[in-house]
Amino acid sequence: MGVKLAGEYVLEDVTATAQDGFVGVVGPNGAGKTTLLRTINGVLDPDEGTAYVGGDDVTSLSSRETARRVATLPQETDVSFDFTVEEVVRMGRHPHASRFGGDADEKRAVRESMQRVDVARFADRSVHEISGGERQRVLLARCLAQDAPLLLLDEPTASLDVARAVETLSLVRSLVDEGRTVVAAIHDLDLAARFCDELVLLDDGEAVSSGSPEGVLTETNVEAVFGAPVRVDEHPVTGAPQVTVLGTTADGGSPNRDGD
Amino acid sequence: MAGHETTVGYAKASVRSRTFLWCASLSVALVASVVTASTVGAVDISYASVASIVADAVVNAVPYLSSDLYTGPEAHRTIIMNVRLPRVVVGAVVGFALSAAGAVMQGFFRNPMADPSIVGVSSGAAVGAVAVIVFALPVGVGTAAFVGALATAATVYSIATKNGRTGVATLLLAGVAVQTFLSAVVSYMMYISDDQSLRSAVYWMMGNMLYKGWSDVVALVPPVAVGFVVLVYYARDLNVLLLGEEEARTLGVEPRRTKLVLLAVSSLVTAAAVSVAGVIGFVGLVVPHAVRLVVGPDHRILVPTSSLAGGIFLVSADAIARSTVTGGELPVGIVTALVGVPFFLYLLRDRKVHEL
Repeated sequence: MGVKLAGEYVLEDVTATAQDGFVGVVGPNGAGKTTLLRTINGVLDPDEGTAYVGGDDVTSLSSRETARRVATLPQETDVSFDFTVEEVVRMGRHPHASRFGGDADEKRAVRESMQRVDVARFADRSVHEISGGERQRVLLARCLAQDAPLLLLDEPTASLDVARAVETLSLVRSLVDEGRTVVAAIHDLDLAARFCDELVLLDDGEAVSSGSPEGVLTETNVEAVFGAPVRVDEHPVTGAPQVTVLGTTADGGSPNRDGD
Repeated sequence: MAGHETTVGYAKASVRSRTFLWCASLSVALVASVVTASTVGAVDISYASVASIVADAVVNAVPYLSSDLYTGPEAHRTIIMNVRLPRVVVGAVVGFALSAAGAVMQGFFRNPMADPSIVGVSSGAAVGAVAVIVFALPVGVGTAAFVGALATAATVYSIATKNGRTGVATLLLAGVAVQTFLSAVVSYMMYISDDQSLRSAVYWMMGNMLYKGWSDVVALVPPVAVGFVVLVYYARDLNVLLLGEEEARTLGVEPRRTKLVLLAVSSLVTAAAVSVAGVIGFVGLVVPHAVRLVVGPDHRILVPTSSLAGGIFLVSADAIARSTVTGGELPVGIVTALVGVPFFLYLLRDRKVHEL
């Protein structure tokens, strides 16, 4: 499928399927990782092709129905008023609630998801009082409370230190092992290789390669997409492919792997 | 994990029971403030007399029931029922309406400095009202104000909407620009008017409850009541909308429809209030803000509690307006600002306010 923003193709000719498992979307800044996620969750309307969620064209579903099928973890959230952690997590129940209260599972779902990502400790704190990493986990708890079979994570590790990043992805891994499908945009290739079942490598809006991490993260692929000489080894501990950038290209373009 | 169980198990009262408790106490306070405010005036009528007159009126309005608790002079009953009570009730409903709309607009614009007239409702009402006063048009001032208010809100909305999308920042800027334009129109009309109508126009714009009767109550209540129900119905969506449009969509809110409904209904409620009582500043800005500091930002609690508190606030401010100047009364808008601002600043300093 293809998506144009301001008349330019940001996503061109991407075909990918996530049946179950943990699919990592990788690629340089501006490759279209976030755009791909925003098309799957129905925020963007593709100019070509269709994003199917649970067998239906996502643009034909109401936001409420989409939100019951797809939960999205945004990169950062901007909560303008002083909501508590628990209140933010409870917003994940919005697609399940009838207008005046009525959501039998709310208490259970909110409690379980807060415990799952270990934010129950500060349930009554304001979302403004906690750190960026903690806030990220609160948003993840909100996604879990949403009880959707498909989770989209936009750079879930962008604001976390290495240990928290591994912790978060291990948690995501265990959710996948319980039967959820996760599609995550991840800028860190090593982490993506270590935790994902499948990778989709995007370059300038096109899916260059997809499949197992070993098959996608080859030296040829990574060099072509990121424009820098690299070496790919097997990680001595995890056994996943490990990418080492050796330098920059002659034209001076240094590979910037921060989140976009 | 056991520790976490207890933390969450000991969750505070649910939103619904907190809302109920707050609304019940504020409703009692509102009735008390209405009765108290009705004792204020040139003729001295006791609190007990007012209470029994009101109780008689309420009970006798119910079929098959009758009550004659009040035994004092009938003239006092007439003063309360025909003069004081209707104006006090108008004050209560206007304060209620402005605060409901203010709470919603602050959430809608994700900006605690937003007020119910942010999309130009008051300026539009002023143009309508002042035009009728200055040019002696054969239309009611209230009707013209109401039409002007809604026409302005609709204009601002359509200016800010492009390809079906309405940007909140664009809406805010369009609102400010249109308000500035309309104040110039109002200034021009006042400049060319004679002294008598200039005085009426200025008085209208300061906001007042003078000479309000039951017909005003009848005109006010239906739009305010219907609007209030709709706003409460959408309170949960508004909470989610605070996260931003895109995130709200991923949580099951239809942003476009929700925004249109919230804006249209708030404007309707504000227009009804302004067309009856003129431009009463500060109620819709300060009351929701102050209430939010106490009950928190959840609009399911905030909208009803702000509304009731707004009613209490305006009834009290009007009572002060009537009792401070001997032989006359201050426009209530002056009192709401003089009393409201210091109280608001006190809350702002006293309570810890995070990024508000």
